[in-house]
Amino acid sequence: MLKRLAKIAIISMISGSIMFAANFNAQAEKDRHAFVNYFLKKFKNPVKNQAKYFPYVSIKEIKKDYIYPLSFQAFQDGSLSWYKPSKEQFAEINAFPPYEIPLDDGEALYKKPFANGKTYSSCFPNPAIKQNYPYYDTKKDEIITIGIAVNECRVKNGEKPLKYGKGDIAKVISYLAYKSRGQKINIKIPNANAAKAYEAGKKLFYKQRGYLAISCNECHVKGAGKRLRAEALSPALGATTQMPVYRIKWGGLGTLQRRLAGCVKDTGSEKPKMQSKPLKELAYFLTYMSNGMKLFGPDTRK
Amino acid sequence: MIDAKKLLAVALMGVISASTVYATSNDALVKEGRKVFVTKKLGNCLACHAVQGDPSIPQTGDIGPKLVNLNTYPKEYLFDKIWDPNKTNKNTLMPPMGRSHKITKHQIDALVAYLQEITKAK
Ligand code: HEC
Ligand code: HEC
Repeated sequence: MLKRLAKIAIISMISGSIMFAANFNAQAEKDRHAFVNYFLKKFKNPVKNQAKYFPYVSIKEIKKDYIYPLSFQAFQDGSLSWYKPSKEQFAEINAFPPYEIPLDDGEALYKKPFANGKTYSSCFPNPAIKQNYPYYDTKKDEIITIGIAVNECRVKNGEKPLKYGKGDIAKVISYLAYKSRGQKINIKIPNANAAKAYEAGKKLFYKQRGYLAISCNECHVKGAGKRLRAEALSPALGATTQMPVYRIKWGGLGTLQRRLAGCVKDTGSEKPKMQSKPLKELAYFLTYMSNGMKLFGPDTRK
Repeated sequence: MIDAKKLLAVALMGVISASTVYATSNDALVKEGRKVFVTKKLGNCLACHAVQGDPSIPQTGDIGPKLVNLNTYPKEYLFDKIWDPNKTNKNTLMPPMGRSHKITKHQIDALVAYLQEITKAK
């Protein structure tokens, strides 16, 4: 009898905590389902749905240049997922991926001992961890991006932190990303403050900003599958799976933070600081939206 | 004594020079408008629009409609559209470049002159 009571108590404790945990991401899950469905519908049959989603693109061009239907996982490829000319061009470029050399550098850096004799593996014994970043650290009460984690590891080992965005930090993250290929993005919202951070990131994503009064949403949700000048606009779904990227325009690797800062600036706003609270929140929201998608970084972009 | 012939000549010259002045200033405006249209730091309109009658514009986007037959629209309509497209279409993706002071009223006049001239059906 007593045993049974204890059992019931335990069961209700467990289910209670599951319900409790589910509460924090309830809204986010609702958002994510709508987000994913929008993209799946939009790219299911662009010819049939031209009037709804691509009113100013001719059927002829859609038939010639668009790739469809797109599966959930296909969105890992950004603008290359739907735009045939880019996909073909990059298939050629990636026959010898330009990120290969910096990726090798990243591996060397990962394995090179710090002054104290330890290496990055003292912090990341299993380098296949990128799927969990950015995560909400409930003790520090803030978002930890993978860049911050790399620098925390350095500081803990008596090394100077690296500059964010490009260079060595992008190389080390590329190695971690490479080792994490195939892992599914798994962003969690562990408590009420994490949910707040998620909501803040969401607000930034939909906010019209700068003198162009344009939002991430307008270019990468509504605008996804259209062209801005010669640039095929990438869908926001999957937008973080391939990071860091080697960009031809940069002539080197750049991290998600670098890309986000650049896109905010392109809207006519002041360029935000990398790893600032708003950029971390934006990354947290954006990565959450791709939960369940397999990672494929690093990759090459225009 | 009034020299009617001379008067007429002067009057005619006035008409002619006025109209040539008008023509050249409109040409200049059209030219300026094209520059605003294609320059990234100015209007950057080609990022989203192709233009009927001006196939030399490189690499236009397709977020917005191809601009056609704009000479049939009232000037004010076009001015307002470029000043702040949200006035007529709350959900538009087009940025309010006049209202946000990215381009000046004069530059919008130039854009309107250019667009009305170039998109005339020929
Ligand atoms: C005026 C249009 C515009 C706006 C607004 C904009 N972007 Fe972009 N973004 C681009 C273009 C163009 C590219 C390069 C082509 C591509 O991959 O989409 C790009 C690329 C990206 C990429 C890289 C995708 C990849 O596959 O590598 C990310 C991530 C991104 N943008 C996020 C954002 C976020 C977040 C915002 C809002 C702060 C934003 N963008 C606002 C135009 C825009
Ligand atoms: C980010 C994309 C974008 C940019 C940049 C842009 N537009 Fe637009 N434009 C649109 C969209 C979308 C529409 C259709 C919806 C509407 O009418 O608001 C439109 C509509 C228009 C129309 C009305 C066309 C018609 O037939 O009714 C005109 C005129 C126009 N734009 C001119 C311009 C000019 C001039 C510029 C540059 C100063 C410009 N646009 C920049 C996206 C853009």
